[in-house]
Amino acid sequence: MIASKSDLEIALERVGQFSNPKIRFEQYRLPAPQVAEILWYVGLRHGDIEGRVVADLGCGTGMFTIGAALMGAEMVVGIDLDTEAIMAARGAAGRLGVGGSTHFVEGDAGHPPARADVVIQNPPFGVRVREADRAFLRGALECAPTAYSLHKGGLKVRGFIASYAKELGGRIDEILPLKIKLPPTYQFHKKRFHAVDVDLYRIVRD
Amino acid sequence: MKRRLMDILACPICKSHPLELIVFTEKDEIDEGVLLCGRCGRWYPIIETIPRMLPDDLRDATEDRGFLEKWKPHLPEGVLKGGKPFSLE
Repeated sequence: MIASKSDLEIALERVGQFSNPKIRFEQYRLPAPQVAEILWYVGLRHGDIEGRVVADLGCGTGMFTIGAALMGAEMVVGIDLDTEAIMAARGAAGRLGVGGSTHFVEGDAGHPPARADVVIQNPPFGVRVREADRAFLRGALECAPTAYSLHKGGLKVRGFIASYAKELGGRIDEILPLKIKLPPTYQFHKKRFHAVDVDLYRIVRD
Repeated sequence: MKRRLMDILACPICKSHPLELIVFTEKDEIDEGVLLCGRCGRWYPIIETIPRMLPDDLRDATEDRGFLEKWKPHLPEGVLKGGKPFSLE
């Protein structure tokens, strides 16, 4: 098992990029340092990884799935609509030695095909797919009593998530603000890197 | 798909758990098979080791019927005749 945050970061750097990113899914690979920071927070601050069943909705390249397995989750299931991404994630999990505790399912975040203790997810930010945030949040609380969900920063989003979580019978327990440097995955991204303010929400069912 | 996954899989539509598993081919993992929901009658194919558990509107009727044809002798009659969302009837 991984012993330090920097070891986790180094391991996650070996997870592949999307070979063929699909704009409708807003696919991009989260940078390894922020994924490591998030998983360290989830696992060490809240004790929500080791020995737990974890689900990663919209797992993409499998950064959260593989990272949670490296941190000692009992089992992790990565769920995504994109089978090509799932196959790549499965390959990466094997290369990183966590093929045994990771599982992959073709599925929709809004209709999760599994039950878990904890969800960790990075939904599309909703720029191109309206309502995606809602579907992911609904799916997350249906899948598990505790969910970590990464969203665009800002008070407007916070207000929306607070009221939607309540509608779903849950509440925001904690918010971890982060800055993420994104490389230009898509051609319409003009800047070399752009920094985005994001918030990681810990949402619990009441 | 590894058998342990059955511990946590649930029907994405009616939420029923556990599901029934029929294995067609198996190497290190289950390569081809089908998952059946006893409550709502939906079936979900396992293709190239990956369970395909999409909601009805994201499924492809032609591909799904092709899967049923391919594994016809191994599938229960209930799925072939009245399986949801697609059957061979």
